[in-house]
Amino acid sequence: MVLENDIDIVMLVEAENLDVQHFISRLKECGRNFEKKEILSRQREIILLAEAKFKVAIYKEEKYFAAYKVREDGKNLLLVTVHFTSAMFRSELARNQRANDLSRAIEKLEEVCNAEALSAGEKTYSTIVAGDFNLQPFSAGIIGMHGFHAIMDSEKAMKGYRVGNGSEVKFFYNPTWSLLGRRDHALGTYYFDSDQDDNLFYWYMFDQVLIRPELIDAFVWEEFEVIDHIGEDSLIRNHRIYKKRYSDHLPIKFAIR
Amino acid sequence: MKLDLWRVDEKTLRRTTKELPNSILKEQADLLAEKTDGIIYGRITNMKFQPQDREIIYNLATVFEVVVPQLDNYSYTLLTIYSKPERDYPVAITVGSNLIDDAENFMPLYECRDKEAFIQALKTVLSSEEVNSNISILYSKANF
Repeated sequence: MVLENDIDIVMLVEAENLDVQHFISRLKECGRNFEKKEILSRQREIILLAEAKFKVAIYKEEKYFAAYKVREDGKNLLLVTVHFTSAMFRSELARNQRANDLSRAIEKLEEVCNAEALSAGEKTYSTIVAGDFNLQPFSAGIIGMHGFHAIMDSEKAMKGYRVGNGSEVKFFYNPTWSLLGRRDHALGTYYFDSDQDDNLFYWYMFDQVLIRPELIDAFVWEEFEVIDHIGEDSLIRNHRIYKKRYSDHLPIKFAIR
Repeated sequence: MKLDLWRVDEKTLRRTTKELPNSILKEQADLLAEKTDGIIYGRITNMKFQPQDREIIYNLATVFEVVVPQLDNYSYTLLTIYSKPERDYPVAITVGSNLIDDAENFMPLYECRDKEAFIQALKTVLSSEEVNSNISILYSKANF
């Protein structure tokens, strides 16, 4: 998958069973030199592998997210990989509340990161938050102003913020909306068919990418997709994710240029 | 001459706030920088805390992070102190946790009713094997 899609940075969650060193060695045999990015190894659920030629520095390792500074082609990016609590263990209400708390923590991290950059005479960082949110793009924790405020209207998002409850609330833009209901690939990144809440979607878009508005023009739409094939092998079997062989989530691919 | 009706002045404020939890924490943060010749320093950030359990009295989180400038300002959260903004004590301390888990299931490692208890708790955390091992790793990585 990494080779076929010419991936530069791999973000993995719940990959405890993956032999990372073996994975890196196999990629090396194919001419790709990847490195695992970690400092204190506190973060065991989130793994980031990046091609050695890229300038990727670990900035923060936490339980539910890890943040990395990526400097490439004159762009400074703050790449935040998230892994929210599974829908199996928490109600949507509880997951939305966690998303609200997490969005505040990430916004604070952004502020500190950019204050440090400015005091060092460096360019400020534009934030990307990507990973397994275990929430839908329309869930309150993602779209709501107390959460990430990640909206689907790029023009509105370009304004940068709106005023809510008397204060400025910054927007994220959520391109993941464009993947909903498309017929040319899987309908979501997670499949669930146990009717728990009388509200069954079957396919859920739990894996998403949220970008700050200044990155909208740099987002490469033609690269953005849910990956449901590796070569000739389908990651879907009997209209469900083939989790026994691969994973219970389908990966998403995105690019910033 | 200005009409000054205030009783406060900087000197008095410094003296009276010296023994408050945030000042004690700040002192430890400065000491870390001194002891590592600036290779590692402590950063203190205040954040709003909204526990889901309405009976929890704390609504301010003071996060103590260890920062390594030579590792692109990499930081890790060493501990978080929870308090009420308008009161010095009590305070609660969580270690190795995060605001999200603490907001959902508040299980502090220490609850300190006064300065003595706070200093004792802080001493236990800062002198623990895990903290010192992490600091050694960061110091070593920052020097290569």
